[in-house]
Amino acid sequence: MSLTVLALLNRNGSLESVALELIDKAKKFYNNEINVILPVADIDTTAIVSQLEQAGADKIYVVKNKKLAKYSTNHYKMAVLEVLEKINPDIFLIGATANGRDLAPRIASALGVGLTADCTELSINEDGKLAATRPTFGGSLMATILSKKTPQMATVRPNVFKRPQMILDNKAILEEITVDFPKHIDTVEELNYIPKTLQTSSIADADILFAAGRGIKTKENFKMLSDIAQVMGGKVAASRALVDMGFCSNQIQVGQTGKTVTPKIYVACGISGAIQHIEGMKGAQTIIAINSDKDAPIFKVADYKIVGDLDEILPELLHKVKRF
Amino acid sequence: MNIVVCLKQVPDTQDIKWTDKGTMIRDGVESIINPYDEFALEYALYIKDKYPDTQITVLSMGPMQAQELLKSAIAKGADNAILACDKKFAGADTYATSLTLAHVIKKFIPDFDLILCGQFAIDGDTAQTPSSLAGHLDIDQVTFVKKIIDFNSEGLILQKETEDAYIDMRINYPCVVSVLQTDIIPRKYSIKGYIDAENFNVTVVNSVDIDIDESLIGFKGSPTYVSRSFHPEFERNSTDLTGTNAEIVNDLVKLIREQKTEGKE
Repeated sequence: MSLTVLALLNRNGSLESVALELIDKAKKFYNNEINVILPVADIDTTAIVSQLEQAGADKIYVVKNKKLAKYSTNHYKMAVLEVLEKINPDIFLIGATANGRDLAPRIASALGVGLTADCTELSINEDGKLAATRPTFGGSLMATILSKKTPQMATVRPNVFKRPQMILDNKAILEEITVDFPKHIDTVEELNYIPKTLQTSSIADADILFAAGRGIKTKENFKMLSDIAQVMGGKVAASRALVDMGFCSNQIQVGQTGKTVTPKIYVACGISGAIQHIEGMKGAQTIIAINSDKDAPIFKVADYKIVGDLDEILPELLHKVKRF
Repeated sequence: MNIVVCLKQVPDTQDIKWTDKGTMIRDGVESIINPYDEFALEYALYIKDKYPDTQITVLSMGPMQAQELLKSAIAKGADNAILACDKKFAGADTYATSLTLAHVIKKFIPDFDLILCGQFAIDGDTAQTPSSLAGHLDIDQVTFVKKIIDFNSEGLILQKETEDAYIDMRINYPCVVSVLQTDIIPRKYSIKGYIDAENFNVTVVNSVDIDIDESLIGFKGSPTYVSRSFHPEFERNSTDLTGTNAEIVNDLVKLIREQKTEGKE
């Protein structure tokens, strides 16, 4: 009986922090052993192992092969399957990052088991099964999903669970496994790696977010909101509707298919408040919503409501903050 | 070249309205092609523009009405359309869905080169079906594709997008490629295409036609199931900010400044 978490590395060699969030969460709802699978090239893993230990891992399987230096669907699939076969966990959790989401369905289909995507809550039910809860069908409902087979697999997005409290003296058992790959494993080849500029990847860290939805109506208004955000030391974010309208990149999208954010202040401008969006921002400390429709669902999660016209409020707000 | 494009019929989530109790009002909600799948179809058509003898088969699993969306793809230039339609397919999770699609492809389009999918469906939003389909077919995949840079009769060069990078990748056929929303604008169909498509016969296949065991499809074949569903409760007590716009803006700025400094040492 064990719960296993997959730990993947970023390209710069650091650990994807969602792995730590998953270990910490698992500690809270699972009473047996928490294992970690860590696929890596032949590198020094001391620092990463100690992060995993301090999050609460009991046993870490370090899977080594130089082909694991960067993510590849087939190599990672084979490496992870090899460990899973050996330890046969009850539950297997994967962070819903680009690589995690690419890999998880391959593993589930190879094992013939189910996979619940983008869970926002995990627990053990009265029968001892993993109860994985996620928003579903057009965002109208939350569904708690059970799995008929083991391992019971689920993915969780980064930032959905809190950063763990470090347990400084926790030590894990380490087991190193060397995997071998056949010579020709796939036809996929990386040609060029182009890092994104920092500027576009930081709404998750902002203290103040000014988020725009379809109700912002014009690109001029969106520009004005960006200016307001900048003057006030915040960042601009957007709902999926606005991304779909081509106003901005999905890098700044908040919600179930975008980023989960937990700023001090979230100002929702012209966002109606679909559940997928709310799932991504409900953890904000203070939520201020501005919308012309007094019945907009966003108001239900707001600490402060402003029923008003953004065409008028935005210029007034920009004027006001610029004078400071 | 032989391309399969997977299309899903979804409710237009932009149209969805909720009752006071939070249930969905289904009346008058239009069904559309999942927007991400439109990009997958556009890429197939784009390849056909360059290699006109390319055969494009559009494939969907769903109710009989989904024939309409397949016909709209025919109107745009797809050559064949297959609808997997059977009451026994109902209630499938992503595992059973992708297994069913894999069976249809193996049976009816066995010599495919490329399978194009939208990365997400706007209703389910799991993003799992493309990888799972590649898994069931045991072929290579590139997911989260932002653009197709180049292609020939051997394979493609694609740009994938991750959280922190764009990655150019090469992949050979046969393979699954799933696409994000991209800069290309899906084409509209021509009037002639529309008229031709009206009389097009969509091939409708059921579970018997694809030789799949009943225990592997639909609700029965799904390794996951919904045990409980509920309306989320995350209401907060809210305070109204009212007055003239100038007063509202004053309050707002004051509020933001207070909250921003709160908790700072």
